[in-house]
Amino acid sequence: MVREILMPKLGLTMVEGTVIQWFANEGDRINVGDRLLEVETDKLTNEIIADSEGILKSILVKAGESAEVQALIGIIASEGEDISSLQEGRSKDKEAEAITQGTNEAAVKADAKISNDSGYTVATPYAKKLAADRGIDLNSVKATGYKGVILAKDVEGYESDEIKIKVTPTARKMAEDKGINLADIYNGTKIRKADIVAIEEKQSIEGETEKAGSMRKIIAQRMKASWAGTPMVTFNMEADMTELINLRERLKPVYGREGLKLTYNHIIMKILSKLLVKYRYLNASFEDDTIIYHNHVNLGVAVDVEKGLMVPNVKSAEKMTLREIAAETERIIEEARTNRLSPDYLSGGTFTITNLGMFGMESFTPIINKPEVAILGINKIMEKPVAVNSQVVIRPMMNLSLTTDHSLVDGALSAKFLREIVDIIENPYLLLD
Amino acid sequence: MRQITFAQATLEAMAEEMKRDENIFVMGEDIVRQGGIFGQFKGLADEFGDRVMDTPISETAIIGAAVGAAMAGMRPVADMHFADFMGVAMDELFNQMAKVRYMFGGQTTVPMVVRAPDGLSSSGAAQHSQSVEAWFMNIPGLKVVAPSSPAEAKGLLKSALRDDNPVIYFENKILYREKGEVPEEEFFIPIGKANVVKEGTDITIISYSIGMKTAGEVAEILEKQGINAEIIDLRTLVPYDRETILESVKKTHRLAVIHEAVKQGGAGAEIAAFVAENAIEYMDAPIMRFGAPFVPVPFSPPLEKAYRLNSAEIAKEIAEKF
Repeated sequence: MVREILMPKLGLTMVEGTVIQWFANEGDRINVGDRLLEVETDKLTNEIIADSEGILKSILVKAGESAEVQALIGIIASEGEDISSLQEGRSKDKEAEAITQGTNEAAVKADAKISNDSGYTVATPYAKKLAADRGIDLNSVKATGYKGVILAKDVEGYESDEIKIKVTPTARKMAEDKGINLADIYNGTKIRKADIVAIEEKQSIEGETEKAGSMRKIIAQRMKASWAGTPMVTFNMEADMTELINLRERLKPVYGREGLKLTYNHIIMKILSKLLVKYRYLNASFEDDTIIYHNHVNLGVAVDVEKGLMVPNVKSAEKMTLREIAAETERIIEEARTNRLSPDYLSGGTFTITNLGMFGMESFTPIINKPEVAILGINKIMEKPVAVNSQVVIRPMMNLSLTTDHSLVDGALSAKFLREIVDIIENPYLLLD
Repeated sequence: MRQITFAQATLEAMAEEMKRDENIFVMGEDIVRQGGIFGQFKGLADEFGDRVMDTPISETAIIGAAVGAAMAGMRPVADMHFADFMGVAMDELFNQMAKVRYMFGGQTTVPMVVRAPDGLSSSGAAQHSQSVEAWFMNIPGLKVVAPSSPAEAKGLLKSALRDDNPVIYFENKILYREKGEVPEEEFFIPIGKANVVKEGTDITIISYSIGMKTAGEVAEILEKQGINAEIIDLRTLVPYDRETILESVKKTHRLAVIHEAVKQGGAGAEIAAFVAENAIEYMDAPIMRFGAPFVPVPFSPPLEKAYRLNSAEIAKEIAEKF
């Protein structure tokens, strides 16, 4: 049976993906559940898992190359099976389904695999009940039953795979005492005391090592690329927050009636959504000597999540009221933190804000979230002595740290933009202007 | 324990009960003169005289007379010679025998037993080989039993003779000659209670009557493949033992029903549907039915052989689902 590997569509707006790496080489044996390759979109990386077994006959899109969604990127087939017709050409509208050729056996096998291709996981009622009772995702259970059906024993076996670690009692006790997770070090051979001692010694020199997760890898790549490839300048300016605080205090109870908690972020986002329509250089991208002005202000918000950093964005913020911005911002942050956010909200941002005020920061140099050209860092509101009309008075002050890409946005423009943000913060009535 | 044949076991049950209750009498074709076509009445007339009567060849008359006698307070036993002939007396069986107690508000009961030899013999052909129990599973108002061994035959017949409702007693023609252990002391097998003949963990095999032999053979083949079958002898088809069936399939998560009768619309269909309705979430494989193909029983010996249940094939089909 021939199984085509197609570029997956990982989000509504995804049109193209890049192969980061193949985990198997041409000619390697592939089993169902094996990691095949890693695909990257502009915001995500995703591992593609084999849903069919055979030999990885052909890699058509190599690591580092890109392909359109649904394009053929590789072929899995049985040993000795002819795949030349597939390699030569392929109609554009091909569905993501297996093509069977030749023997009746192949046809029978294709029938057996219908469970996977149609998206419906075929399991016996009892297997389904067991999986539900034990909280096991049936899609991750390997079927061994007739016609590829998942049986109860497959569900039971799935569980025991996870817990069946062979270990001597002494080694188990030592591992527990030292906080070593046996599953992390188990490679199929029985774990003995010496193994735990060896690991402990290694840890005492190296400390713990951990393979970076896919999110960390994306953050690292993007940050490095931005830092190395962008002449960035950070501009700092303090704003007197008196009026903005008043504004927030007046609106808070109004919004509170709807269960909406208004923050300074929301108000600053509202200000930005207004200003960025005017300052179109700051709501732009700059690639290959071409300036791309964006039609909408999609405001990204840097969100601290469990495994790192995500920047979901509020789409078309320029059309939104303050109330709408507040509600939408809270929604995407909550979904990002609970891992429910559609990937579409992670791409297409045009400007980012990042707030470290809650940690007491007075100033920092944010790194631009490429391909955007500017990012606004928000700091802590602090009471400070300031001179007003030759009098020293105490005012709630907040520093704003704006980083811009100097290749597109000149210093004067950046300064003017930041000045205007501060103006509105100090006189929020201008929002009505 | 002593061993006697199935036919002798039924004879003992009749004799014991006829001694105890003089309202019991038997009517049938050739049961006095010949002792029954399979010897199942041999000597009964010598002991009980005119309480054992030969009748003309008219099933209508036999059942009609028995229903009347039962309504009048007797406890008749009617022999059908071959189950295949029950159709002749169908109105008496299902419109009279099964209905009287209900239609007349319980003014009278119909305590009678219809004995019906059934199943394949050798080249009995289409009119002398049938198993028709499924017809009677669709008729409210009567009970249906189908014993699988000499001891079962005796215990169930004694219970049938003491029951105040009409009971159809299907006795398999091949089983008549089978020998088996039967206790000498008096015993009864309750109607409506199935028997777990062999406990197992991997699949429930349900059968009755001669199908139990196949069930045992299938279980033996499966055992060699590491599949531990639980075997249930249903014993009673109406009312069948729902509790025992459910308890078993909830344990084994698989079910196969085997009977010699035609598979389509058979007793297996009822049991399979009952389990699907009540325990589908416990099932780990399709519910399987094994029965005869949907053709009249052939006379030709090779064709008749092909028509019969095949233990090896059944075991193979079951094992494929593991």
